[in-house]
Amino acid sequence: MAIEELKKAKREIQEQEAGPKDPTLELGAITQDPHRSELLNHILEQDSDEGAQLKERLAKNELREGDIGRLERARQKLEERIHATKKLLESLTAEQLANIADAENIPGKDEGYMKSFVNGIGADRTRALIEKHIELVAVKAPDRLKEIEERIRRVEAYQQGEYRTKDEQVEALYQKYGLKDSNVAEIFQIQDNTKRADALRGLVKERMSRFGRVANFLTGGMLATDRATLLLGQRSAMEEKLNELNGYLADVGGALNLSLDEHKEVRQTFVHELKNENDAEAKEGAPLSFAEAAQLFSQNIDAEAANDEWEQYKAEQRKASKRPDEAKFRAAYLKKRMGRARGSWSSLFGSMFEDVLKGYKFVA
Amino acid sequence: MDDIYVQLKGVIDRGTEQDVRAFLSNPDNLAKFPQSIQAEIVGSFFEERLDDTGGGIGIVERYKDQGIKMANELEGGKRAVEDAIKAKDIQEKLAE
Repeated sequence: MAIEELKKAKREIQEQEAGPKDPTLELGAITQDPHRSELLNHILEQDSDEGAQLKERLAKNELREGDIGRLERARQKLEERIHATKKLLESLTAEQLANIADAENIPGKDEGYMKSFVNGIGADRTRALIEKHIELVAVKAPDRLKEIEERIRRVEAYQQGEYRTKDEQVEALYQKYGLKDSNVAEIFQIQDNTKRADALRGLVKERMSRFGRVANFLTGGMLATDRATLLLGQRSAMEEKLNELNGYLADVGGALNLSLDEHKEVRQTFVHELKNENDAEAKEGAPLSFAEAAQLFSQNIDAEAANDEWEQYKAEQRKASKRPDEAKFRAAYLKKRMGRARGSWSSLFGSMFEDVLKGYKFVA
Repeated sequence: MDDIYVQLKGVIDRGTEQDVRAFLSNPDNLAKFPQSIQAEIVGSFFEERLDDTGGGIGIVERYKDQGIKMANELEGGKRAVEDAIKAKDIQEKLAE
């Protein structure tokens, strides 16, 4: 046992000494690849102020003693993140990507944008761009990488029928109480897409509200209170209570039935409304929405305002007998302007703003 | 400022959210952005789609768990009422 462990440790040391197995992850190759060197720069920036300075020296090819060691540590970190991404992407097969792109559209939110990429630039190019994006997420926001991994796993599990048992319980409940979804059938008679989507949203909201009422009844301990009263009550009161409970069971069954795959459009509307409710509850500290991030980006595009702030910064630095540092100013300005950089939309519009900012010329 | 950003700002300022989304997902417009931004655009739409599908599944499953638990509680409540009615029947028969 001990010998085996020693052998394993020796192998690990030899592997580390041998450097990366993948030649594209050698330092020289990384610095030649614009995408990978951007990732390395992010890792250096996260490291410390010293890392940011090292990034500058690397760009100018002015490395000092000790820099190679620091660069190698950053490279190893990058290698780890890239391996994590590759592992995650193994489960994102072309079929999986097509399934995600082909999923029913959410009225007013998703009008087939993923499909537009797959059809317009091809599945391979779409997947290659997603891979680059996920590598960037792995470096900039590892927590989001875990969320992505979890969601890919859930889609896979759902497609393989892992949640089928629960669906069967829901179906049994629905059958037991002889519930009929005549309302859904009526809605599907509506030919106009917008009107049908509105009617579906109305039905889903009504059922969710009834479900919420039953949840309040139960969490309020009403069942136990009723039971005590019933023992002393009249037969008519008991029968009334029985009807009430049957009504509640029908409300629960009716809401859960929306989650089944019977009608994809119903399920999508239900998922969308549930997510809206969930996002509204988590609004505090939540990532910026698409519309919020886009607005922020547009409002910030103002070369004159950026120049005014630069002049102010320069004056303050000189007053404090310091040399104005343009790179530092740009980084601080970007952070200040784009606010909380959480979520994919704020990250995307933040990167766009950074790109626009690169075009602004500041007088030293 | 690059022309593509001028156009994008115009769509954000004058159009709807759907117009902005359609602008970014148009392959001809996409090709005009730098490579790294192209990856972020496609990747962000992918993340959103994944959030709606994978994230949605998680929320629905929690909802189902809650609903099944609620149905079981209500079933228990129903049994108690049915038992009370049966007891009432016996009481009434004995009193006859």
